[in-house]
Parts: sequence; structure tokens; C-alpha cells
Amino acid sequence: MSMAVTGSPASAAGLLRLRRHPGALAGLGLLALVLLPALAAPLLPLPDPTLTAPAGRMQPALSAGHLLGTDHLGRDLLSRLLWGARASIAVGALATLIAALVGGLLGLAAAWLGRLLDGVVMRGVDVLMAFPYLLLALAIVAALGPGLGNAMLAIAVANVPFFARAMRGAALDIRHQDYIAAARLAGHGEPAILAREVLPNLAPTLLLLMTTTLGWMVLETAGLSFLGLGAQPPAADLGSMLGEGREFLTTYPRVAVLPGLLILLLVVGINLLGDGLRDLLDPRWSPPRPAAPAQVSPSRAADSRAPQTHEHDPTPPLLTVRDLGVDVSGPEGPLPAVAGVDFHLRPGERVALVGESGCGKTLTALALLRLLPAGVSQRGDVRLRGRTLMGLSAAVLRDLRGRRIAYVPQEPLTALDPLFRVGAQLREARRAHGEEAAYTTQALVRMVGLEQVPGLLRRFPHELSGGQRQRVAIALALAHGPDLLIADEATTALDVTVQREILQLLRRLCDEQGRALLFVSHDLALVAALCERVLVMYAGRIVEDAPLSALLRRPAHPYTAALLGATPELGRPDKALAVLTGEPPAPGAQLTGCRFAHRCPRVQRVCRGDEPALTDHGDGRRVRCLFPLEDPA
Amino acid sequence: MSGPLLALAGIGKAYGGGRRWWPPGQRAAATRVVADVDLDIRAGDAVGLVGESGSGKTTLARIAAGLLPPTEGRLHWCGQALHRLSPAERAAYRRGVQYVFQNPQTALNPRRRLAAILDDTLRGLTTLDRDGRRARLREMAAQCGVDRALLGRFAHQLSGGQAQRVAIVRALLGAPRLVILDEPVSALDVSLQAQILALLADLRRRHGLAYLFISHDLAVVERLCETIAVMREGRIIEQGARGDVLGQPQHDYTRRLLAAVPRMAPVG
Amino acid sequence: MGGYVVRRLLLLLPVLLGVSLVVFAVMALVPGDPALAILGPYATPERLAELRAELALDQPWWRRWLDWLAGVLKGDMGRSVSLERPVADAVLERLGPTLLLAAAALVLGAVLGLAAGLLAALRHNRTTDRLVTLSVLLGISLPPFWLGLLLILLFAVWLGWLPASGMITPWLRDPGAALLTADVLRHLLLPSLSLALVAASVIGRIGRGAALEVLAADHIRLCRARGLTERRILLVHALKGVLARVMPVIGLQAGFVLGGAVYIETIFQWPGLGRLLVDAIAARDLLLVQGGVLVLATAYVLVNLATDLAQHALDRRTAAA
Repeated sequence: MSMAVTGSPASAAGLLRLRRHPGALAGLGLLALVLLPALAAPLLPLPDPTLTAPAGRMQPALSAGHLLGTDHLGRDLLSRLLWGARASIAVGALATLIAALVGGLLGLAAAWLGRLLDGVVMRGVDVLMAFPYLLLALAIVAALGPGLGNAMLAIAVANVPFFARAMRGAALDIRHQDYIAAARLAGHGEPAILAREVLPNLAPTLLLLMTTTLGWMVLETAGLSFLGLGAQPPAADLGSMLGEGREFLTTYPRVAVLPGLLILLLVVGINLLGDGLRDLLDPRWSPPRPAAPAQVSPSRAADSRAPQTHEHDPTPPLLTVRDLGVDVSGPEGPLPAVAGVDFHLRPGERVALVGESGCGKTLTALALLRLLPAGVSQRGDVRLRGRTLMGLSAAVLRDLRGRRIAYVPQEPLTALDPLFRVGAQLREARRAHGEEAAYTTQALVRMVGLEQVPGLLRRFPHELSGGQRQRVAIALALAHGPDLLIADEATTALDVTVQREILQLLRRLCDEQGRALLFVSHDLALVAALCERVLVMYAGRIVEDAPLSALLRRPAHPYTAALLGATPELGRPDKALAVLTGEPPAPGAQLTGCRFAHRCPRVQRVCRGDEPALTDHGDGRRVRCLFPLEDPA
Repeated sequence: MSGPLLALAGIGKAYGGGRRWWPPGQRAAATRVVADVDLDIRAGDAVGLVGESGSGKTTLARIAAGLLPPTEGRLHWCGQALHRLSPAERAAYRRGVQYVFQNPQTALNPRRRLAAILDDTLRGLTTLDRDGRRARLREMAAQCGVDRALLGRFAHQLSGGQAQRVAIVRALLGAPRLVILDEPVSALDVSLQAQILALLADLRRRHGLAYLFISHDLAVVERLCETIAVMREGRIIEQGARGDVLGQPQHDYTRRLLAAVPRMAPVG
Repeated sequence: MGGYVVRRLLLLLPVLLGVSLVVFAVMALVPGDPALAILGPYATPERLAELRAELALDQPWWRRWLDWLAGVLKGDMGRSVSLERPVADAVLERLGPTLLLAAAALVLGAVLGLAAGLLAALRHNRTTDRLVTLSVLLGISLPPFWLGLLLILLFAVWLGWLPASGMITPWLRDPGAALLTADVLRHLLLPSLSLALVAASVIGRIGRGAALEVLAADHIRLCRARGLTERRILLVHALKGVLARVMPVIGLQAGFVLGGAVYIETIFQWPGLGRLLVDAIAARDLLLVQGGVLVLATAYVLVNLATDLAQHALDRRTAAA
């Protein structure tokens, strides 16, 4: 997908998007609620927070001069809360800064300054992280003695390893990026690379870590104070107030409950803001929309329009697709990514669905299985042996999948569950449909040519090569001898020699067992080795449907011709490659007329009028073009 | 000048190996990614480096670009071993060899605008003043078909084809003599691939560039290169003129590779 | 699997050695004379000299560390000044209750957290998901010591359902095993819940993310394409994937419950190591602090070893660092 994302990752622009993030806004609001009065405490007409009044102890809330009452020494609770919040925030923020600075520098140095330093720093980090984090802080306070400053220092030190490890990871990741290599090629020295390439990319990570740890730090310093190891009387932070108030919990719960509540509000605010920042610093994030559940709407045209395919055909179709459309969710509602897809497949027929990335071929393949992800909906009609798949219950659909229609995916690495052995996955696939599967495990293994692999069934997917994994994926798909196999770019991730083996395997398995194949691919040359008929897709439409040899000899749609002309062929280095200008339209782009018009060398004014229909041109060929290429015959 | 522009002599690269101090008793076996590679690239020559994944193509390319130090062997720039170059000659090598990465999106700093990235490259490689740099950038952008309005954007706001064009602009800004192209069209659809291939052929003609073109796609390499080297398991198993390697392959692996290439002809 | 276990066990040694060094270094951080700091300003010169000799302050630091380490390995952690008994005895006596509390909190937290995370992911973007996300946010922002106080207030003071402090009802005489267990469990519920709710929030947060990721994975979609039942996909494939991802976080939460025990034991008067530590710090009893921290850190290292091994059993792609 080469769809350009709008909005920039630059922090400033990211912060502007804050307005559209309800969570972050709520966090800001909460923080303001606590922070503003706390910051303004010296300016507010409040009693001295340390002024004791033994006569006026435990005054209830709303008593004269004491909005929230007084504590066990008669000190004004509101004043103490606000001054305590100041202390807690300051200490938490300072601890975060120290930990981030020291840890960040250590991590950066470990990642950048060579193996030896890295080894030393990381072993130290390992050891410090082997402590329950609070205990490390506790041990440091034990040595330094109680006090708010020491508590802050202890919390900061206890957090240094966390920052060091995270920043080292981030820096190492950046170090291996190609743009660092590119900067070296531009002749820049290390300081310039650090300043211009590394730090700008590291800063958001550090900022994020700081916001996510800040809440934690506030909690932990409050905890040390609660234990009497932080703020010492008469000074107080929220934690020590809570600790002192604990004695009066049963009689005056207010004194202990209020400081805790304030801590909670403060930390919730920080965490909400932190989550918001994480979203906003991610360029892929977009404001939340109500998610549309995957849904199906029957085609309006399904019943009115006759299937406009080959009535003279003797064999009844295995698969009939009529007016299929797929809508994906976009920022402003659903976008039609696929529309008006009409085709059929005869039993045993090998058909290719060809198109460039983003043309909707994978969505089409998934729609045939009714397996589109949430938020993507489909329209139109899909029939298997004349029986519609639309409106079927989940149980009936489940029974069809794997038994009648099977699917082989593109990426063999992610296709198999990495946590289960090959044998377990084969067994599971065979038992998926209650009755005994069509083939035994051994037969399946032989069928895909893996019988020579020692200990295959005991292996995990990551212990196989890419080609072997793809063979296993095919075996899983074939367990029940399905009538139709849908292979979605099933060889794209493989090397040419392996690719050729898999193509031969697919072809043999379909030939021998009379199975139909829908082979989805971006590569016309691959398709030529496997399929009898080709459906060419462009921008969500089928633009041409023709027998393979006819399509290769004389393409009718200008796009098909361009695709053929642009593919380099081995042994023909002097073939002039047809160069199409421009790029395909984004899904849902507002276009009138033919979707290919803006790149078409044969475009006429009428092409931008109504969108042309997929019309029959005889000899089993259908073309969606007003001015198809001339038939030389 | 008769000698090669860049010569790789006995180049090898191994990772790991030697005694590891932790975990104790574990002696990591060295993995040789590249071994005994001899390869000459003459000025204006286009050398294609072909092989399957894991054959060591990219490692070799990075060594040739000076991005990765080899563990064995020497690089020679204009006949001089790299470590003997004077600072001025070293700078010439740095300017003279540039690299186009497979994935243009990761090769452009995501947090900087393209214009800033390209200007930095010019600052690093040339002594041009502000106006000179602007003129040079305008010229190369035009030659590579990059709309100058795009330069105000960030890399992720470009399509794959546009980003690859910008990456090519960057590689050419310092007027290099050799450009190493690491699978520059593999991530692109055929129609865009044809555009970029045409652009590369045009730029080569115009600037007399030498290419080291790395690809798994024999048909693409055949179009662009006169010399072809086939790599397998870190070694170059066959190299020679295009017609020889593709027409009368000597090595069995080359023959298998050729046989596996899908042909655009219908099968029975 | 076997090789991984051996490597992981070998890695344990240097980490524990490092832990002991850090614990030992606590003494070096003490400003001024450690003997004076431990005994306080009213100590007799004889006692001070005695303690200095005991701590061997005239020796180089590595010598003292090795001596201390050798003692620890023999079960001798020195003598507690405040308790006037061997540190090792005091620490081991208090270890059991702390481990009970931490284990209960961790198990409760893991079960609650995983359940909440999975539920939220299954009901992604619906009301249940929002409720879970909100509670999890509150949970990770809660001071556990405040939560403990609130629980006491509600269940012990106002409702009177559960005891507010201690581990065993003191006036229980010869209760028998069943009754004793029930009594301990009643006392255990509130303190372990105070820790578990926070731990569950962290686990739930990570668990929800992991479940969303797993449910969107290719291999789950392919299980559907193969016609597996939804029930099997969730309970076998998705659950295992989520567990493998969450296991390290459960290990980290062991650090939280072991450290958090310090607060919770103080609030609930739970006779564990955490409370002992707080008292030891207040009394400047450094040898006792060292012993307690060392034992708790070792427990944490062992729990992490267990979760690492469990993760490896779930996902064989993980390798020892």
C-alpha cells in the first residue's frame, strides 16, 4: 500500500492533534485540576500548612477558615494537601528527570560506543533489574538515611537501569536504520549524525518513557514517605500525610483518604496524558471512530441481473461471484476498495487474479471466504456450486471453509501458528470438520513433498525453511480435499528456485485432484506458468478477463497491455519497456469514468463520463474499456 | 584510465567467532557471510550481482560502499588500497561511491523534511554555497522526475516510487562515479519498476555512471548490466559478460537459477 | 529445551553474584562511620570497636565482600543489633508469610489480569472493553498502600467481614489444620487483594494489547480459513499466544508484589519480611536490611527464572540472552 499518510510525525504537529484525542484531553484536565491550585498555593489565602492548633484538631470539613477541616494537630487540611501535592509532584518530576538523563546517556553510550562499554553497562543493568525495584530504593534510603531528598535520589537511581535498557534498545534500533548509513555516505561525522539523525528520533521515545514513568515515580516517592522514609515532619508530601493519617483511619478517615485520592487523580492524569502522547507520537494514529462491525449487505443487482458470463458453457460453475464490492473504513466513512467484481470459476479450472499492490485482489480473495477483517464490509453475492454464501450462519460457513474452499496465504512465516509443532497443526486441520479428513497426515506430507524432512512433525515452524513452511501451509489447506484452493501471492516471499517448485506443486495438486485454483498474484510471468485464464484487476475493478494465451498474445485493455509491456523478460533485454506515468488512484478516490483514464495512453473525452462496464468480447473475453486495443486477428 | 574504478580483492566477512566471555564455555562459530570475493568495477561499467536471499549480496554491497569493514581482503579505489589513500583521495572515494537502499522509506530520516535531508547531503559532499546547493538540488530533482513540491514533505508522505526517486536524487547529488543499487526496484510494482529502470538507464547514460546493481531478478539485471556476477552462499560462483553468463552458464547453480525464472509464455 | 535450561541456570550465577555485590555496597553508601551509624550516638567505645572488628572495616572492600558472601553461603548474615539475634534466623522466620502473600497476590493478579485483558480484546471497542480499559487505568494509578487502607475501611471497619490485621487470630487455640488454613486465608484476602488489583491492572493492560495483536495475526485468520471452531481458535491458539507474551510481565509483577509487600505488610501488620525491613531501616540495623533485601531479591530472581522457563516452554523461539 503506497497510500500517503497525512499529518507529520514531528512532535509539534503531533501536539496539535492533541485536541482530537479525548483521553489526552481528559488527562490534561485532571492534571490542571490538581496542578494549578498546587502551583498557586503560595498565592492563595491559605493558612500556614505547618501551623498547629491543638485546640482546633480534627475540625470537620467546611468549618470556619478550614474548607476541608483540620488534621490531628489542628493544621489546615486543604493547605497541607496543596503544599503536599507540590512536594510530591516536584520530587516525582525531579526523580524522573534525573533517571531519564542518567539512564538515557548510559543507554546511548552503550549502544554507540562499542561492545566493551555495552557489555559492562548492560551487565550492571541486569543486576540492578534483578532487584524488585522498590527494594533497591529502600536499600539506598536505608544507607543514606530518611529524608525527602534521599528518597527522591533513591527512586531516581532505582529507575536508571530501566531507562538505560529502553534507550539502549531504541538507540540500537536507530543505529541499524538505513538513514544512518545514508548519513555516513554523505560524509558526516559521528557528532553530526548523533545530533541530526539520532537524537531527533530518540527524543520522542525518551519523552514517552518519561511520561509513562512519571506516574510511577510519584507513586513510589509517596510510598517511601508513607513508610516514614521520605518527607520528615513538619514538612509533608502526600505520602507522608497518608502515613500520618493512617493512625486515625477508623475515627477520621478523611485525613488519610484525601491525600490518597489526590495522588490517584494526579497519577491518572499523568497516565492518561502519557497514553495520549503515545498515540499522538505514532504517525499511524488517527482519531477514534465508531468501528463498524464486519457486515454483509446483499447485492441489489444480484437477482435482477443475469450472470453475464458464457451461457454456452457446458459445465456449471463451481464459484460464481456477482457484483462483489468491498468497503474499507477510511477517516471519513467507508471507502469502496473493490466494486462490481463479476466472475465465475469452473470445477478444476486454474484462474489467476492479477494486479498491482492496492488494487483490491487480496480483499477480493478474502471476501470469497467471507473472511474480511472487522471494519471491512462486503456487498454482492458469492455462490459455491450455486449456493449463496451470503447470509449463512457462522457454523455453516465454518464448515465450508477448509472443507470446500481452502486458502494458502502469502507469508509462510506468519501463516503457521509459531507456538505449535507442525504435526499438531496438521492433526488439528484434519480434525477440524468432525469426520475423518480426506488424507492421513502421512499422505499429506507426501503430497507436498516433505517426506524427506527428518522429524518434520516434531518441528516448530521457525525450524523450517521458507519453502518448507509454504508446503506445510499447502498441506494444511488440502487436508479435506477442497474443491477450490485460493492461493494469495503464495510464492511472492520465496526465492525463484523455490518459487518454481511451489508452482509446480500447486499445478500438480490441482491437475491430479481436479481442483480449481484461484491464484492471486502481482506477477504476470508467474501466472503464465500456472493458469488457464486471467482476471486483471485495477483500482478495485476487474478490467479484463481472458484465456491466458489470448491475453498474453493480444491484450485488449490498455492497462493489461501496459502491465505486459512493463514486465522485463529474460532473454529480451532490448524489449522496450512500456512506461506508464503516474500511480494508481487511492482507494475511494473521487473519480468519474474509467478508473484508468488518467494514466491511459488511449484516453478520450468520453472515458471520463460514465464508468465503462465489463462487456463480453467473444471467445471468452470480457473487457472494461470503451476503446479496447484492436484485435489483429 | 585502464584500471578498475573500484576493485574488491579477496573480500570476506565473518560475524561472531572467537571466544565469548559469556556464557562461559561457549565458543561461537564464526558465520562467514561473504568469502573470497574478487570483483572489479570499471568506470562507466554496470555490474549486476545476482543471488537468492541469504547469499551475501547486501553484505558485499555494504562493504563496497565502505559502510561495513571487511574481515578479509582489500578494497582498491582507482588502483590504490583504501587504507593507503590520502585524506583528499579518501574524500574522493567517499564522494565517488553512493548507495541506493532497497526500502527508500527506511533510508530517509522519518523526522526530517526531504529538503533538509538532501541539503545535508550536499553540505557533506560538496563545498557549494547556499545558492549553488539549491541549483544543484533543482537540477537533480528535475533529472530524476521529482516534483519540487514533494521536497517539503516527510518520507512517509511519499509513495514507494516517489521515495525511491528521492533516494536516487540523494545518491547523485555529490556527482558520484559509482552507484551501488541494492534491490532498488524489488519493492515496487511493475509499472513503477519500469519507470525507475528507465530512469536509471537514462541517468547512467547522462552522467557516465558505473553501477553495482544487486537483484534477485535476472530479467531486470539483464536489462541494465553488461557484466553479471552470480553469488551463492557468500561466494561469487560465476562472473562474466552478460551474454556468456546468461547464454552459456558454466555453473550448475546458474543454470538452475535461469531455468527457474518464469517466462511470459503460456504453458501447455 | 534442555540446552536453554542449562544456559538460563548458568546465567543465574553472575546475576546473583552481582546482586550480592549491590547489597553489600549499601554499607559503602553510608555516610561516615558505619559502626557509628548502626549503633547510634550512645554506643560505648568498646561496642563500637567490637562492631568495627566484626565488620572488618580495616580490610579492602572486595575482601569484606568475599568474607560476607562466604558467611551468607554458610547461613551466617551477621548479628542483628536491634533484634539481638542472628540476621539469618530473623529473615528466614519472616520469609514464609511474605512468600505466601506475594504468591497469592501474583496468582490472583495474573488470573484477574489475563481474564480482563482477554475479555476486553474480544469485545474490542465495545462497552466491556471501555470498562476494562478504564479500570485498568485506575488500577495502575492507584497507590497500593491507599488501596489497602480503603479495603480495611470498607471490609474490616464498616462491614466487619474480614480481619484488618495480622495473619492468625491470636486467641485461636489448637485450631486444627482446616480451621487454621481458613483463618489464614481470611487474613490473607485483603492484603493480597491490595497488591493483586494493581498487578492485575498492569497484566490486564499488557494482556489486552497482546490479545489484540494475536487475534489480528495471520495465523489466527488462517485457522478460520481452515474452518476451526471459534472456541478452539480462542482457547488453544490465541490463549497460548497471549500467555507467551504476558509471561515476562507476570515475572516483572513478581517484583512489584515482593516490593509492595513492604507497604502492605506494614498496613496489615502481616508478620513478613517487608515489615521487618521497615523496622530495620528505622532502627538503622544495616546488617538486617542487607539480609532481608538479599533474600527478597533472590526470590525475585528465581520467580523470573521460572517465568522465563515457562515462556520458553510456550514459545521455543525465545533464546537465552
